[in-house]
Amino acid sequence: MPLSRKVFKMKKLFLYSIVLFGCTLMSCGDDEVPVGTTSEVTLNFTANYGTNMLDSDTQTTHDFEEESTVRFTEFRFFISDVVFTTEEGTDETALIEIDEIDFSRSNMDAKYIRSVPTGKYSGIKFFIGVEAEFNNTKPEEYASEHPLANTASYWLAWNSYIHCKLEGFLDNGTANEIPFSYHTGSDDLLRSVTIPYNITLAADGSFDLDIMVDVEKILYKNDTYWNIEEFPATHNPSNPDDLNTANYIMDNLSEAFKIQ
Amino acid sequence: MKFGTSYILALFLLLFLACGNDDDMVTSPVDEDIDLSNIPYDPQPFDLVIPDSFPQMEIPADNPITVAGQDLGRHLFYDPVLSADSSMSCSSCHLQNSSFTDNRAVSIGIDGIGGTRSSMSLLNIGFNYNGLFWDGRSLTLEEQALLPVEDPIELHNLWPDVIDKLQASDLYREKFRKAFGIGLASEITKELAVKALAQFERSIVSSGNSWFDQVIYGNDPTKQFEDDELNGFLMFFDQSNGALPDAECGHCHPAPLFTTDEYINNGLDPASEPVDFLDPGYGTVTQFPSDFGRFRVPTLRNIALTAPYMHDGRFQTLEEVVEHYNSGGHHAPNIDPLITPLELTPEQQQDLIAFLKTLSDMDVVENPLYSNPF
Ligand code: HEC
Ligand code: HEC
Repeated sequence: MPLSRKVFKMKKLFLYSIVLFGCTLMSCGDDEVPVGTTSEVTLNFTANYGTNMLDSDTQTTHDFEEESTVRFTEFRFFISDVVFTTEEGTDETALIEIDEIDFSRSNMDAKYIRSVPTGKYSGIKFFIGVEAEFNNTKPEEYASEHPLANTASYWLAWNSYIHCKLEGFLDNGTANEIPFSYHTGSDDLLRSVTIPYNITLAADGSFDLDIMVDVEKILYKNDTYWNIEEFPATHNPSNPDDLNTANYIMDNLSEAFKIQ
Repeated sequence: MKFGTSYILALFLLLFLACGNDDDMVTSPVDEDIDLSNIPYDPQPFDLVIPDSFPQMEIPADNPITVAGQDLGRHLFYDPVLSADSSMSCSSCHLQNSSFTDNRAVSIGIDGIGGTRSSMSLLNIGFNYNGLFWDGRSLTLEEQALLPVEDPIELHNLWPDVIDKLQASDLYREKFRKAFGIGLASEITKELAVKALAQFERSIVSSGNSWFDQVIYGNDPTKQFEDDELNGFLMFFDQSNGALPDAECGHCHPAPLFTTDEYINNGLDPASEPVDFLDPGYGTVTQFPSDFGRFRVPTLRNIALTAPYMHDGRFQTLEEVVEHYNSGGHHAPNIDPLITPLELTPEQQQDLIAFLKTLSDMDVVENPLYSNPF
């Protein structure tokens, strides 16, 4: 169950106090926390365009259809209900409730999880986007450090968070670059990703999982590049073209992940 | 982050003080020092009224807003004692009537020298979490308030001189005592002065009574936009379902605050390289090439009162602003992709402006809690 939501704000101060006093206590007394049952996990998300690193927010261009190129100024998406799966399919281990992966400054965004129960896992599973329960909330319900507090990530027209933003420019040789801006939102556009991978977490160890997302795959399917010029945006939820584009983007994004 | 850190620091400080030897803390009164302990110190929390639709304001734990602190801050804000020649105060460039801007393209300091930037509205400034000024160079209101006093093109003074004057003033001795419980006049410091200024600034919050708030967040179904306002609203938030063009404004100026506080290039100037920008804006602070020419998205609340517009005050009217956006702006590598030709008819442009005018909040402009106390 998500613990944040409305209570988050109110509990904030309280939590800090607990954490702080907890720390103080622990550093004074003998360590009573059972050792040897957890491991540290880091999820390293990186973004590529095909075989090249995605260099977002710069002028670096990437090959697109025929003579044209694309460059990206923003690429970010939410992940929610991130879990390690097990062979048995039960007892999933929760890693992250909700967070944002942001490649607008760097092609890497790492998420650190302090203590994950040791054992064998069969892979990782998560939603791309803000899962429904959180998506019922609004930015003003959160303290500013919370990933859902950013009003730029919420779009009134859909009553939804923006699951994914992909923005940039297409240069197809005409006088001006063509801007594109794909924002996707609403519960229907939430997508689930499962990547099988054998993971063994040893006691008191640390484990890095490198998850790569290939942006080219978001705009390329069945040997065809997306027609950016004709469908450059997804802002209007009731426009069927926009909805179709948004579905295309989210479907492709959900298939663009792999573990390296 | 900011809030959390300061809170933890404050707590550690408390723990530290509680453990440490208190003797270090006692300042022995100097001859001419004035004992203030007979003035009652009874801090009461300031009743900060925030519209329901707004986020919660995060206030640093070491500077809660009190009635006496806000009152002291208001006095300092309006008092020309802060400037070298006693001719100007914060309020000279942040006028309540103008939603705390100065209606000049660029501000002019005490020596008559103009800066390069336009004054900024202080309305709802307490909700900002992403850096202050057009370029984000200051992180907190407490830190920010230190700057105008010594800025050569603003108040052009020296803090020690200001503090001397404050310590010598009966009015301020009493107000600092009531706000912060200091025991001696010599304990009036610039740190306390900026805390009080910050408390005053945080108290400047929308009333929730603008026409926009009444229509959208009020519970009175008789309150409906006029046709032009409604059209403007639908275009602003891309909500017309294709009946009208999308104006894209709401992506960067979303309700309720009408800003994301992000740093964006909205296409004001053509550039092919970062160095082409006359004013590098956010780039000066981050040194990140694609941040050159980016500026913080300003709030549009009370926008009808704050002309001229943009960081350098280049547009005199909202008509010019909307014309700029309608044109798609000037190309630069880091122009935001949402800035593209909008193809609004002249009538639709007027509708957008009619909507912007629904954001006017005269209660802020008239609220006696924010007005000149002298
Ligand atoms: C000479 C005119 C002038 C005076 C006097 C002045 N300001 Fe300003 N203020 C400005 C200008 C211009 C800016 C924007 C500057 C920039 O971005 O570089 C600004 C920005 C600010 C901001 C940032 C707002 C935001 O949205 O980021 C705050 C807060 C502020 N001033 C508070 C004060 C206080 C407090 C005082 C008095 C101690 C003061 N100002 C005195 C002109 C002035
Ligand atoms: C891509 C983000 C973005 C979009 C879209 C956008 N703005 Fe802005 N807006 C900004 C930024 C950034 C500034 C400040 C730019 C500067 O001064 O350099 C600004 C400034 C303004 C100002 C001047 C505010 C002031 O205090 O000087 C107005 C008015 C304004 N925008 C209205 C609009 C309207 C109306 C629309 C839709 C037609 C719109 N904006 C769309 C980012 C945006």
